[in-house]
Amino acid sequence: MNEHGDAVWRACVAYIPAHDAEDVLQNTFLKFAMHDQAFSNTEHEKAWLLRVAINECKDTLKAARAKNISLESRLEAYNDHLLGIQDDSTQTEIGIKRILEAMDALGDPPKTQVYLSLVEGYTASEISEMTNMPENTVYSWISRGRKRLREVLS
Amino acid sequence: MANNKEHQVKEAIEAIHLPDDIAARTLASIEAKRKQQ
Repeated sequence: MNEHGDAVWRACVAYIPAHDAEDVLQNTFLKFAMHDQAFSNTEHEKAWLLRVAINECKDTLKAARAKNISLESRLEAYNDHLLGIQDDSTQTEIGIKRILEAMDALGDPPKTQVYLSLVEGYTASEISEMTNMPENTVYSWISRGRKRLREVLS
Repeated sequence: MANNKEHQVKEAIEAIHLPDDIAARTLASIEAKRKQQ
């Protein structure tokens, strides 16, 4: 948790409200604790955790849509404390709320592909493995998604 | 310009950290599940 907690939490709050993100975080680390196969290294662990967490977030969104519960207002309730933003000096010109709204506006795909590429620095090949999507398709989504993100934030 | 926007996105998201209270509740939850098994 010390090593990958921040990365998993960031991914969760990029998809769903903080109170739901906490449930997903707990489920993800519980699955990790119960996982009986060895990981080859810490990067392998991190990729596994992010894949599980993002899939759980998507399931949470699907369940909310099925119950006709809107999660759209989640950004209204966001504040620095809930997000775990501790240092004002790291605040950027654009602002986290606008960035998360812009990521949502991309749709998914390409949100997941853009997130894993831009924020976590994974290659198209690595994202292909994590998302079970052909590498060329991932590459195309990253390219289109990053262009769209820049447009939305302009 | 393009890289600057992307850099800001990465920087803003990287400023998000797992709050200590949520980390503590998660560890307690995992420990409780382990004890149940």
